[in-house]
Amino acid sequence: MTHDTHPLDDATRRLDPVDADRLAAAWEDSPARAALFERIAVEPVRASHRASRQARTTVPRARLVMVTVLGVLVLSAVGVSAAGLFADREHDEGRMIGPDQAEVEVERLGADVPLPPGGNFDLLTQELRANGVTQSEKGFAGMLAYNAACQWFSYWYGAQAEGDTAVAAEALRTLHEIPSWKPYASVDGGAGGDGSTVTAMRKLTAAAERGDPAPVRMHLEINCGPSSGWDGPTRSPFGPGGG
Amino acid sequence: MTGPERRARFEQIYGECSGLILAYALRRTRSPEDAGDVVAETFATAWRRIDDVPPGHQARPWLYGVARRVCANQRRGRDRRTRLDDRLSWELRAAAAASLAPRDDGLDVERIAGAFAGLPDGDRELLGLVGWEGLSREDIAVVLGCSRAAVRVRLHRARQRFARALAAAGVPRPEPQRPPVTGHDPATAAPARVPVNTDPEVAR
Repeated sequence: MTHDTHPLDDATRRLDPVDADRLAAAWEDSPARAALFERIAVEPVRASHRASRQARTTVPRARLVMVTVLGVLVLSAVGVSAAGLFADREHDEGRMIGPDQAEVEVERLGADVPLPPGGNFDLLTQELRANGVTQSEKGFAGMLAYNAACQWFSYWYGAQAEGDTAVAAEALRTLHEIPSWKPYASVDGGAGGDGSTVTAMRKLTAAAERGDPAPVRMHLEINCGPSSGWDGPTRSPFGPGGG
Repeated sequence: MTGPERRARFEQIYGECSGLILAYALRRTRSPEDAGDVVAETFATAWRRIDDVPPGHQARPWLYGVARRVCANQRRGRDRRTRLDDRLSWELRAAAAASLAPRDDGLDVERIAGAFAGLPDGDRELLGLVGWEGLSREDIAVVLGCSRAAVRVRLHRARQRFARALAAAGVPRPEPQRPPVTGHDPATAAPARVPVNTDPEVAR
């Protein structure tokens, strides 16, 4: 195998906009990693069993897949990402919720998950109404839970960055409770198998508990966004302060 | 390949390469959203064509090749106006990287970034595959779908253009390095008596 080496390569390497080591560590623990795998390799196997249910969605299948997969990886994009973790599951028999119902349903289903002080679903609601995706009730609830979890991680991150240990401890207590939130508890009793969203959340919470903000920040940057309370200097890992 | 075998094979490839493809995509797209799109489509393709994915180490360049085409399709999907945005976006990223890079070796990273950003797309891609993804010439040939000899020629030209751009930007030419002992390719390696100070690419 021939590895070309050249004096100019070092110059190129110094321009690398990605911190590969940090990204690899964050990706390993990211809920998006497991969710994307499931979307690609698991969901298609089940698809043949739910062909009739697909017809109930008001958007083309390809569009739904794209939105959910992308959203899971980068929640900030459309704010409907966590639907990919819950929607269209084998046992998801809930009614469908369209964008015109978003406001009412956020109010109703959002009551099942706590929000940090100052938290809200306002931006998410706007995005949902603009996005035009119809999804199942369970998917919708899961999306709200995911968004709320992002808000709590953001809340914890801000508190620890400011050295506010009391607030950080309060946030940490809630982070530990995330698996027991109704939308998560309704999937496998909140146990969370290997590679599941709940397991990934637990890993992030463990990082927070040991005072390591890096994985949480990377999670916020890659998987969360303004609609979930993350208003860091950039959502991109190669922007100022993000690398 | 049976269903469980397909699943196991894909799981292995996904586990080993998804992070690498994400890094590749983040380096070449305008936003994490676009990068997510590239990763999702690349592995969806790998799942559909799991029987075509080469075994072992060769899976990685194969995936890079798919990701490269996905990125290209993504760019083609935009209107002409965003071509300028692409360049601007890259310059901004390069500037961001430059602002974070250490400056204790005398190199002017901001000027290097400017020179790099001014190179043609193909040159940047090639230099990135070497410098960022750390790919060998054989792997790059798989990614680009061309011969190893073509990679060698293109890489040589890209480096020449990069060197000229650096010179124009007033960046001192970096000192040549001795080729590594490992990765020796008898078909293309320099003769034993080639002076160390000769540009390793020109010497071949």
